[in-house]
Amino acid sequence: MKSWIIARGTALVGFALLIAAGAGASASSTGYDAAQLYNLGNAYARAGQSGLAVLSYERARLLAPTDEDIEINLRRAREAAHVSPEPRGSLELLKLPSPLGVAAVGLAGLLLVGASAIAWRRRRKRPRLLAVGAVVGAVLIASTASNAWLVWPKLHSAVVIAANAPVRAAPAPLGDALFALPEAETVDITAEHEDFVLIKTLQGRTGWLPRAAVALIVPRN
Amino acid sequence: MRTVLHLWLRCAVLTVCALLGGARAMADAPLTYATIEPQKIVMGQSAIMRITSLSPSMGVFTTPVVQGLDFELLGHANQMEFQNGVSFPTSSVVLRVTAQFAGIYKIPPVTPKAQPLILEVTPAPPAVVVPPPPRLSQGANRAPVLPGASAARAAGLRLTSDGSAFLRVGLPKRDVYVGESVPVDIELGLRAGFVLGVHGLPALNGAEFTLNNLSQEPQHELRKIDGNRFEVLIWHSVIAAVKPGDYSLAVETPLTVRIRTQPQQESALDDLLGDPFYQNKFGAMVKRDITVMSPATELKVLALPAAGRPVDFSGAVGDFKVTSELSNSSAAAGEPLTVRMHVTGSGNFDRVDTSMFKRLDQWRTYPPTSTFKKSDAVGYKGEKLFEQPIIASQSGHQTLPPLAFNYFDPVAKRYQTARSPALNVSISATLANSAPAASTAEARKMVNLRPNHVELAPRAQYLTPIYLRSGYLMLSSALALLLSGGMVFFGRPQDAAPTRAMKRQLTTLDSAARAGDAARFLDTAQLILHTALAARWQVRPDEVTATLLAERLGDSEVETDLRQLFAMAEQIRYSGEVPALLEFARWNKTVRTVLAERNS
Repeated sequence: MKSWIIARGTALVGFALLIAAGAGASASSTGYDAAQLYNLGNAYARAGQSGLAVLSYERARLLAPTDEDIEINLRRAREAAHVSPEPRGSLELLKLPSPLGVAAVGLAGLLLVGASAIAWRRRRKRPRLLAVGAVVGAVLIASTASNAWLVWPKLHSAVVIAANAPVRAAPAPLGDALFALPEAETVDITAEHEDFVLIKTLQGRTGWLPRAAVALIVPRN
Repeated sequence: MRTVLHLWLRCAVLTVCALLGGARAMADAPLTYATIEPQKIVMGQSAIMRITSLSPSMGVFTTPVVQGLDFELLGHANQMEFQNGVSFPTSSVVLRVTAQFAGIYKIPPVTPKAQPLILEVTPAPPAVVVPPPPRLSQGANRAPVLPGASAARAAGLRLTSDGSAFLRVGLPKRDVYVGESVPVDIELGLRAGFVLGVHGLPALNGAEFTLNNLSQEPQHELRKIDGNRFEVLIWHSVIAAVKPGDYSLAVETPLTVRIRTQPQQESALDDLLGDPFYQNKFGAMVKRDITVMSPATELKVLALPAAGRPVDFSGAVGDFKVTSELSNSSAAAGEPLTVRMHVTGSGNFDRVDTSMFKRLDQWRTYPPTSTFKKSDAVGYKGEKLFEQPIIASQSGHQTLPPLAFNYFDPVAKRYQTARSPALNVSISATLANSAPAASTAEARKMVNLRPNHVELAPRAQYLTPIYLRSGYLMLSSALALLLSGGMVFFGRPQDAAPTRAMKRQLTTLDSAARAGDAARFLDTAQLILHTALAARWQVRPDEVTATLLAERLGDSEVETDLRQLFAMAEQIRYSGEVPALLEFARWNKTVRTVLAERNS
């Protein structure tokens, strides 16, 4: 009786996850489209607005992480704007083509590890098969975790959309300018104060930038 | 006495007979006559023809037919007329007569004995403003003119010929310079009830001046001129002369008005009542499109003097002052600053340009922007703000030179220069080598891009990936908890039951050891070990036989002890021979070791 309840409960949760995943990527007339964002980035790039071009490419890449066109045009836009190249790590190899796929892989890994463990607890037969299942599940979970690790910083990153944006020591328009950020530079937002945001560059430099000079890659809903 | 009485009676009888005979004769042929007023009209106007009969009813009436004249029946009327204390019932017919062409028309008599009527129609004059004739006495052939027009003329107004409207231009001066903006007030007066529509804004009737910034929404005022109500629309604007010389300035506006055609007597009553309703009572008004024009104003336009004209004079004429400021008193080399220059005063601000910024040679500049904030309705007075982005190319203390602006002062009649003070700014070298030079958008245009995507992907509601959204994380956590719970629940039924029995058997094992009961000790130990080994080998406890033990048990120390322990148990079971010196503590420890290995 208990096993029946557990099995159906697990199936129910899995079904709910799939529904949620489908809802997140369902067709919506008001949402985001990777192709449209990519085309928008191309338009900005051709118009010489490198900041908005990089912003659009970054947003498109969130929806299509392995799209080669997006990756190449983003790199070219950065090069054209003379901004720092994006550091690449070994985890890039674990990128999956779509966020929905990443979510599904994580879910499958979780189910595989859980099922292997329960089977081991219930019947200690075929231990090698169960061990393989658990390892595969763990790899799937690790894949999802690595994708999340790569994307997580983007949620708090922003792109400089103003030319030579002055970075000041204090969140005030009359503060001393520490340095200037070129358009299309990507920075991390670490704090906010009225019309200013505290940014941190890839090189580790920090300062206050006018809020209007940057645009968050993932806008706040 | 009788003779006198007879004479009086005879006269009385004769008088009565005469009266009766005359009345009979009048009943046979009632008197009918016709009148027309006015007898002279202009094209577009109408005359009123009235046919009156000294009888209670007109009888059969036939409309006259005259080529070139239109007769329109306006109505019938019956009334009583009194003459010398005697009342006569009369009836009349009222006709409107409108001419199709100019000329003298003869309207045939309504009775054979009557005289024909003559109507003279003259061509219509141009619909321009003409001085209204003075008001004539009653009974004169009065032209359609506003009563009391002489008073209006005394007030500087020129009414249209029908007195329905006027247009006036107010200028503060008569001598102006080429390009100089001169504020003007244009007043259009519309007599209440007479003007049906204004079909355009006031416009200049010549090409020597330009009319600028005419306010789209005029001011409204109600004035009483010569006892008549006028709605006055007032536009504020500025004019500017385009070339020197002596010119007349006038403005004009197209209107649609009602023109009166009422005869004099009735007009007098209408004027007395002053209400268009009465004037329109018998259809005495006709619509007409006219153009009202203001009286001409003579202006002398002077050329700007060539002597002393600055090289960078842009054509600004007026009175101006200049101030300037910097967006920041300090900046880094390469960081943009903004110079704001305020030009205030009055004049033609459209000619105030950015020529003063050409002197910023030591600074890199971008195209300036300008905004104008007017302080009057037409933009003659106000403030023009120029914002000039500049970038210092060298560090150190820099000075922006004074900004100078040249204009012509029409009051002083000479060129003036407005200057702002020099501005100091401290430029640090922080940015000098930190950031690459700002490249223009033009230079950064990219052409070597991968092509656009033509196939659209499914739209996502959020940019945040689903696996980082809180809903997914919560559901994943719930699934992990559920699986963990499953592990606990699935593992317990198999492992928990032997554990409880095992505890009881271990208690029995301990009590047998304390009592020195070797048979019970070995029997209990064998039972415990069978259960533990069955769980390890995934078989039922009754399947743990001597044969299986021989196959599965290895050569380790513990397993060798197990063989010895099982052999002693078999010996007691089948032979009843109890070992002399049984080491209870050692065998107890061996059993617990096997149990520990099983539980791990």
